[in-house]
Amino acid sequence: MRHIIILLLFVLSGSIQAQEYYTRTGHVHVKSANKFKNIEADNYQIISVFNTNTGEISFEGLLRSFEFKFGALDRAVNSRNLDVSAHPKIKFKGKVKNFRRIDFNKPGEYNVKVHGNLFIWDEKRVTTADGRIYVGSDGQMSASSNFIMTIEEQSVEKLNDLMRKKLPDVLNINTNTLGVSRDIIIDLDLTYQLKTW
Amino acid sequence: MKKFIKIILFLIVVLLVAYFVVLNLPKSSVKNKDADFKLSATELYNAFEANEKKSNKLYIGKTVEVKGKFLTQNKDNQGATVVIMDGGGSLGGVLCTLEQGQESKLSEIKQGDEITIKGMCTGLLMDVVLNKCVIQ
Repeated sequence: MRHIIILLLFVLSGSIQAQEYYTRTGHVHVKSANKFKNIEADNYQIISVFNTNTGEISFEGLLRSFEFKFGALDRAVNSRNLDVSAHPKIKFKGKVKNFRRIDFNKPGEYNVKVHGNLFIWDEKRVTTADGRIYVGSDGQMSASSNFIMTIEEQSVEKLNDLMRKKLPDVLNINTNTLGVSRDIIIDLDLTYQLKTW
Repeated sequence: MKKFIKIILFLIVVLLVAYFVVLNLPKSSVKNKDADFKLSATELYNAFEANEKKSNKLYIGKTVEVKGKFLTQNKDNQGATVVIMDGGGSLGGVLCTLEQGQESKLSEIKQGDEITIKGMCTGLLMDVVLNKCVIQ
């Protein structure tokens, strides 16, 4: 009897052991349309964890890790003491809704829906996005998604205010044409490894 | 009249040049910046582990020179080399994304070797993250 219980526990623990994939070097590209030029920035230091048993997916990145395409803006943002230390991160926690359809042993491409909460600055917002998951032949897995995030009026004001304050010191640009719009296009690109600890 | 057109043309050229110069200004770099803080990878990791809020205020956006054990390296999506330094913790350490052209300095370095890297601290995720790094 004891042996059966031990065997049962062993089998159970095996089947409920979380199968987790992670990355420390995910990529997020953000873009905001603008009258003057698109403001674009990249962050290649995104960490993400994807649990293939529960469908839970999360990612986290640091605001200061964004590098702006526009050289002058990158310098302005990085040379001044832009204070992001109160809220230095963006975070997403959610679930891949139809993850049971994915066969993680079979290479292929799967369309999925992701639903969850995005935390940016002190704001929390509910987000739904379409994504794609690629299962490679070597057991590798990657995910990508792009969606539009519409940010609150007050946050846009905060951002534009910041640029108005920071930019004219360095350059003589009319910031009315350089403000960002409320719609921010976000591209996400994550290449996962199996978590082995 | 001819002079007027010449002046206008000249102004347009100046504006165009200024526009492209501004767009293509080199990005900020830590190469020629003096380090605001010099410490070991373990000290930096422990500082963030012990008090993240305080460390955010102290280190984010600052140039930090970190000395520690080299653990692994890999490539990120833009092809940049990412170095993980041992932070003494079980999971996290110090993650450093190198500036282009720095990876050649890693050719002689093996796991466990001591290295010194200077970069801009952006905060704590799983590891303490440094960006735009150069190997000293």
